[in-house]
Amino acid sequence: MNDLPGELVAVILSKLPVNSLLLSRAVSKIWLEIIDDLSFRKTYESKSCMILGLCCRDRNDSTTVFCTMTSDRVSVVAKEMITAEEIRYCHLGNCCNGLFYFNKYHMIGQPRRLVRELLVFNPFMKETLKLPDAPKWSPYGHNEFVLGFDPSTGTFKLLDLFFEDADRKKVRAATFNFKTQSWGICKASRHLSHPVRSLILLKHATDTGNVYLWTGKNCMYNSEVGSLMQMPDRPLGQVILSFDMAKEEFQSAWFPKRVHSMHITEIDGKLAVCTSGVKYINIDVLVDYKTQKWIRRFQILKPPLRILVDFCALSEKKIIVAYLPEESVISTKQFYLLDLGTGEWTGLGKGRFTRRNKLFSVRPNLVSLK
Amino acid sequence: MSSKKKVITLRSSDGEIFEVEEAVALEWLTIKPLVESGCTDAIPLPQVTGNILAKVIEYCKKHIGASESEDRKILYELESWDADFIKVDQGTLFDLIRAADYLTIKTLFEFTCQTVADTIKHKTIEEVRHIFRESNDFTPEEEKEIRGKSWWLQGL
Repeated sequence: MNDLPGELVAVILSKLPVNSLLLSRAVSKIWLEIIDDLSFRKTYESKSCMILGLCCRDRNDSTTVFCTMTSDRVSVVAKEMITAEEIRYCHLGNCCNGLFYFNKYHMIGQPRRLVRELLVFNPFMKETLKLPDAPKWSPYGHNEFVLGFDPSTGTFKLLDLFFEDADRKKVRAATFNFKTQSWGICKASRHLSHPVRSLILLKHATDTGNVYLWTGKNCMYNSEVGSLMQMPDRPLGQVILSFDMAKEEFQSAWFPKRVHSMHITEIDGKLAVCTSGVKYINIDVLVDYKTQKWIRRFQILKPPLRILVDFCALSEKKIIVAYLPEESVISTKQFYLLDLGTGEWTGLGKGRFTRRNKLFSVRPNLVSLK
Repeated sequence: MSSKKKVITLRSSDGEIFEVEEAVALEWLTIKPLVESGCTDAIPLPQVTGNILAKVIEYCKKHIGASESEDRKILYELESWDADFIKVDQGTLFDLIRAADYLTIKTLFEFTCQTVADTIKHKTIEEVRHIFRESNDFTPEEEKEIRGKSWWLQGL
């Protein structure tokens, strides 16, 4: 008498946070069937975000879950999970909409040749997908890959950026579409005022379909001298290149201040940059690309005397920051939660966090890659 | 039109007769067409028992108009009223879900489903099995494999 029909159980299960949902697979075969159903997984929207610290090329390539956040509550845990065998010894790329992008270079065959592998990993499904390698678009090489999401079609796309000219000034994009399983070159290209050696230091892809790229402070390359140097005026390090995954177009923004490190996020759908000053953490928002006007949205007093290690936006109003404690035990970091609404920060405790770790805010994605 | 509010008569599965205001009945999408057509006979609801129907009517009466209110005090009171209302045993709660689904009452359905989800959120698999009277039909090997895939999510 007390049994609920399957479709009502499915409604109840769809309201669970992702961890309880995945654990509930072990309840019974009927529940397993409900939770593993493809249409259920497609419509399931996780209300909670998780902060994962991914660590690559470490002793055990582990992932640490630092905290989870639902709309009302942040709970902190430091829990280690060992990631999949396939992504061992890979370089960690970026994270978008619950998926991680990795790449791996290794030598095979006789005579030895270098092979590139492009991998996508879903930590919640423990699933890895190998993507077909990109064709050689231009002889001037240096590809940079970023995983992005196109919300207009609901497709993941792997963005491939490369130079079209020997001067390394003209950047062009190609994308791999996960739905059509094919590579295609985009019309859009961008001329940069200075040549670049390595294109990207910071890559950030949003769930809303934008990819942001920052070249970092020391990425200028002078072709005459043949070495890295800093440009006196408007160094390229102040340019943030953005790419719209739906329209497949470039935009660029000049960040008005020279900074050593920054964190890119979006607030109300607009590009926002977090930088750490001596006393404050500043968050500036770009009003629009045309006028290149920035406004200071938030200024938050820093927790005292600590070196900022990593930033991670949990939601539009909450940011997790990792700091190095004063008495530096190399692998331990202190975590703080910054509330942009109130301008306050709260300590979240310490966690094992090595130099190779990077913080990611992940919205769980339960749809299989295959 | 008379100024007196129109009343709709409902009959539960065990033959009990209930009277509700038309405005309340119009929120129930399943019987909405019948109400709009001006039906004056008692509407039979063969899937809902009298005591459950009484609870459903109680909830809808309280919520009509109040849910859209922007007065914080009213909303706060409604919230605490809801919390008391839902303090029922498991069987009644499931009956309410079934009734809300059958009558298509969106607010009550969402509320009751969320309540069940909240109660099982931090429960162990054994406790969840007990609540839902699901029997463990996995072989020990199967169960070990399924649990092994998500062990790291425990206690998050």
